[in-house]
Amino acid sequence: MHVFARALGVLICLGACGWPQQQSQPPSEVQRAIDEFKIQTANLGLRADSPVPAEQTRSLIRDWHGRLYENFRNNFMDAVPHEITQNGGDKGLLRRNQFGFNASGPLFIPRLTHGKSNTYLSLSFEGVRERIARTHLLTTPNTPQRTGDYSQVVDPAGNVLPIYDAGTTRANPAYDPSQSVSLTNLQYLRDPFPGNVIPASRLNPVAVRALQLYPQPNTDIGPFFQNNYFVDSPEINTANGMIGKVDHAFGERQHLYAEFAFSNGTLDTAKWFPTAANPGPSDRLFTSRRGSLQHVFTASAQTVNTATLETGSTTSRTGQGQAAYPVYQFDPYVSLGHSYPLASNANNSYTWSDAISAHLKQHSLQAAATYSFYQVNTFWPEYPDGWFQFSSGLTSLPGIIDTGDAFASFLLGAPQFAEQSFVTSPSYFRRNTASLALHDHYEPRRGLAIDIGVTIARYTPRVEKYDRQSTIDLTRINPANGRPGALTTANRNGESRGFRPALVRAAPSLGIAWNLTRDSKTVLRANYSRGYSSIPIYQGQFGTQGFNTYETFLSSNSQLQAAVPLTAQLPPPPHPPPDLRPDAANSTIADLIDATDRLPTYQSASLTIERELPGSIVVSVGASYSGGRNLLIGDSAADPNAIPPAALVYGNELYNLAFNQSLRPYPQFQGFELYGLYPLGRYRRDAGFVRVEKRASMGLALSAYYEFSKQLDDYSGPYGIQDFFNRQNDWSLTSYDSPQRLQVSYTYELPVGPNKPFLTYADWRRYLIDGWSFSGTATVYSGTPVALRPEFNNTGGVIPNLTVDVVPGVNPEVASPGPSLWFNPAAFTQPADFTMGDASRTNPTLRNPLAQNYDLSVSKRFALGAERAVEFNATGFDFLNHANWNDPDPLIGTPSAPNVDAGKIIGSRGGRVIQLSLRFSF
Amino acid sequence: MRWRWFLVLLALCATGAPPRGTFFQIRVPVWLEGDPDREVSAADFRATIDGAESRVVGVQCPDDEMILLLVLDLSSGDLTIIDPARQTLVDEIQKLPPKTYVGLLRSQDGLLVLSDPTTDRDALAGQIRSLTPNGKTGLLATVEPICRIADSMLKKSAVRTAVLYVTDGDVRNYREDFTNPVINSSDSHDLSRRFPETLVQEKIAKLDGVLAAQQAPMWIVDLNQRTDRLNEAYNNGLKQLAETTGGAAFFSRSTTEIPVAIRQSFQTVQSHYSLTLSLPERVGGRLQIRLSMVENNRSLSYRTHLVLPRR
Repeated sequence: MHVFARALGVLICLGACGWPQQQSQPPSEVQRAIDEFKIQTANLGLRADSPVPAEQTRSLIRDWHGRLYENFRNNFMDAVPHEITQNGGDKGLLRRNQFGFNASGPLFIPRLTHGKSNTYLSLSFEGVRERIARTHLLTTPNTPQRTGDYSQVVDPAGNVLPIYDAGTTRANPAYDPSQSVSLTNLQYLRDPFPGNVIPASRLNPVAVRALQLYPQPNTDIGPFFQNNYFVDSPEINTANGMIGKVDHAFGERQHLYAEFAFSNGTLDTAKWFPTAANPGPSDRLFTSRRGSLQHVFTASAQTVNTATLETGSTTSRTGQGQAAYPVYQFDPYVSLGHSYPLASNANNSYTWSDAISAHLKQHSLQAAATYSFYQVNTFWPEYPDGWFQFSSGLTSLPGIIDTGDAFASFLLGAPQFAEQSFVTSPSYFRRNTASLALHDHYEPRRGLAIDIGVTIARYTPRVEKYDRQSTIDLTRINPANGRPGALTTANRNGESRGFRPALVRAAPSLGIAWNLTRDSKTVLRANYSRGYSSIPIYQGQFGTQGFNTYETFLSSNSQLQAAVPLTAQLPPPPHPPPDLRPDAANSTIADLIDATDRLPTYQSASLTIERELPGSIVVSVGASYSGGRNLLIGDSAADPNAIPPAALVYGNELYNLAFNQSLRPYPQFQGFELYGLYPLGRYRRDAGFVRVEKRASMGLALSAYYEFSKQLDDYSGPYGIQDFFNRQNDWSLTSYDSPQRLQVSYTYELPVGPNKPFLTYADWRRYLIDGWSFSGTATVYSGTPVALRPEFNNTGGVIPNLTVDVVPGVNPEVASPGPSLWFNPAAFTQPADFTMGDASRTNPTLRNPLAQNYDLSVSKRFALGAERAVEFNATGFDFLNHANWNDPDPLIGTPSAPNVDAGKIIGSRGGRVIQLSLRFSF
Repeated sequence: MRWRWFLVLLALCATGAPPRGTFFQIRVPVWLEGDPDREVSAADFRATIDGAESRVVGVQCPDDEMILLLVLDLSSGDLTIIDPARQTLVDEIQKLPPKTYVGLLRSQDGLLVLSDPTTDRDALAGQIRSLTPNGKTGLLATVEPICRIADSMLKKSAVRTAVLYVTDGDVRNYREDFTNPVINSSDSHDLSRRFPETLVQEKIAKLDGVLAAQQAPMWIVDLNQRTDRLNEAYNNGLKQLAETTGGAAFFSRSTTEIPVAIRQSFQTVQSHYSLTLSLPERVGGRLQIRLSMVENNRSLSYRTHLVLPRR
């Protein structure tokens, strides 16, 4: 065939290119080479005037490339996770198969493409079938406790926890209001239950019935009666998806690219309880659809225009066909039922953009216009069957911490708070962003490049398709009390559709790249940029309160009075939705949409020097700064309706709801729900780094990155900030600040095999020896700051996120930090009642344990000719089976009731996971 | 009809026997340090292949004729990168010695000849300046045929032949998928993408096996070195492929380095010698090549390995 093909090529070439000039003389060496070039390129159809080679039309398979693969995981290959071992358990179930294919190549359509195609197609499919055990270690009340017998129940210090009878509450005639409440100066007297046992006759029948769905403890990890319910339940995950890509060239100047993707998934979640009262998440259905179309037009070699249209849609539905159940919450025990049991959400986005690039002398200019439109359609009632929250207050000795128990309050049917969601319709939220970006790349002289850019963007606020949005207008007078702050609804009574104006911002950027040496082996880079981000639309029906009622029941005094008796069903709302009265949100935690012109703002600057060294090594050293303000934060970090800390002087009076509420700036509201969308946070991060990259030589490629950084902010953390009125007081290390981070990744191809320096066997042994390679990553990062928390919070709800007090003169560090004692808890103490803690939100010196992870992948490739291969791969995640310590217990108790576990590390986490893969590529 | 099949069989048999000079001689790119003006001849070199003495039968020097196959793989559409590259290429081609022929091809959206090897610098400059600066990256898809073509030219002629790729491509911009993108976003336990470089490494391994048997040296200039993990693996792969053929890869980390990288590549290509070595009988597999100067007063760098089919 080659003879004929070559002869054909010669004829074609000679016909197309003319006979060699020196027909009568022997061709020169160069001419012979050029002739060979012409022949070969003609044979392969690589010339613009080449006829379609006959064989190409018959070799569709040859022109297509791709792969078939299967990734396999099974618990028999994995190590027992450390956290399971410590709980006395064995490996959880794991069966996972991930399989798929990819194929790409020219699209030939008989009689249409005539053997030569300008259209290329790529298709990828992947399926997942997984069954995996989910484990949780929880705390449930023990068997006597469920019958009201608290005679053996102890507090975290091991002392018997006294339970008081709210029915015996009476004022203490000897109470001295000028002194703080204490055991010797009680404001209210209350008798403990005889023998610390609640009589059976006093148990609430609804609570007793609910307990039938509440499983008994099944383990005894401790300390004391904690960590006594171990969940090991399977989760089933199924998914199928496909990505298709098409590109077509219309001549040399126009290209069209199209892409589509879809994925369908189901998640049968692990059941924490085998009953209808399961507090674990609901089952979910996912779909994802994505498509894009891009047209690239090359007007000239100096001017390119790119137009793109993208669209995407993701949907998730939870709890379909599952029975809902009220939520009974009584910390620290695991709840009954769960929030958002039934939901349906869709996120859609549409983006159009056009970018044009042009080159003029020393300037490369680019202008890009983008318009994005976002939709979130959401139906997400939080508590359709009610939420009952119980606290220790109603079974405590009023004003005295470490008395009473939330579960005991549940047994007595005395919630401190109750709520029910009445969501009548889905919400259809929309917003858009339009931007124009201008950029100039300017090279004033050799070795120096300057990039200047600016992006001008217009951000519109969220609107609802049918204007079913509401918020609290903080300036509007509330008719109920004549104070500012009333419910207002979108596009009514002069209100705008989005409650805040559309905002226009200009974001500049500047970059310099400068070759410091003539050999261009040293580059200095300096960059500065400032940017803004829009306020996103989250799933959920936040900001629709007038249209979707959240009926709430509040206790007038959480230590004296239940919010509502525990019954099978909460009373119906007095004003069924829609309830758009200005005072309709009174006495609730009202949804507050920020109406200011604040937008999250970011700023960053960096300086880097890169140097290329002998041995294919590149070293980069740099420093960077980044900061931000107006970052989006939630309820734990901002509260526009907080009570000023000065009100702590009122002491136990603060438990009187009416009095407590009167101290709030907007007393008609219990609080504000901000939904993580309140633009008030600040952060700053400074970092220095070294990066070393060794490019591949002798089969080894290596990359290492080390960073030293410090990040501070006024919002992060597991518990929230203490002082809403002076945010500077909460300016401390970011809760996830990890000051040192080292990451190493490497690839090594073993130098053995027929084409390698060693063991160059040509016989059957080459199949065993050839094609081995290793890849790995190692990551080590230092611990995050310890965030301490007092065990009790007796501040009358004024300081919801209390920190601890520092004990002067006591070193918080221990000589040899270890699991038995990581830090010295004696250096901290519980703040006195009705005072703020004086320690910072995150400790400036104490760090949680560092974490490390090592992954390794071993591959063996079997070549099946030049184009085909089978590759077997074994990957070990955490392959050293290294355990990372858990964080130490951060709860600090009182001197009389210390947390015996404070400062101790209980357990570790991690465990080797193995995945085997087989891939055939062609 | 049977006689036709007989002829086809006969033709296949004829093609099965390699022509003389194809198997028993190899070409090795060499660089000499020291006095560039001093002339060298075959007698100045001593060569061994797998430890056995080999005769140097010819030397092509930097002053001799050369055919450079310049393959442009400009697919990013980023004129801040492509324009300085085009200008530098034009400048460097203008500076080439008269005996250097340049063949011009583009590889984005598939390999295509733009100009047969020629010394017409102005025509080449015009082709380079007018080249479409976007499309699908094509280096990995075209490197094998272009090296085979160059190899075939080397075998047909004593003239030096080299391949130079100039690319700004992103590994994500290939028609063939090397990125292994997430397909099922709801699959939260997917660990198969923790080592995203696997696919590109596999492709490089396949190509490396093919290029190890090609004798024409290849150079690659990456105009836009990217530092994400996937492109790092891609860049390492480009370097490996170029070095397998005896060439080298140059990387530009910023637009200011583009002229330097291209200039260095032209200098290295232009300064290479091409030695023709005769092979011992029955040699095959991976050949270890060792070269030295008879007078031993100039240091050498050269391709040290070549894979030949076993006979």
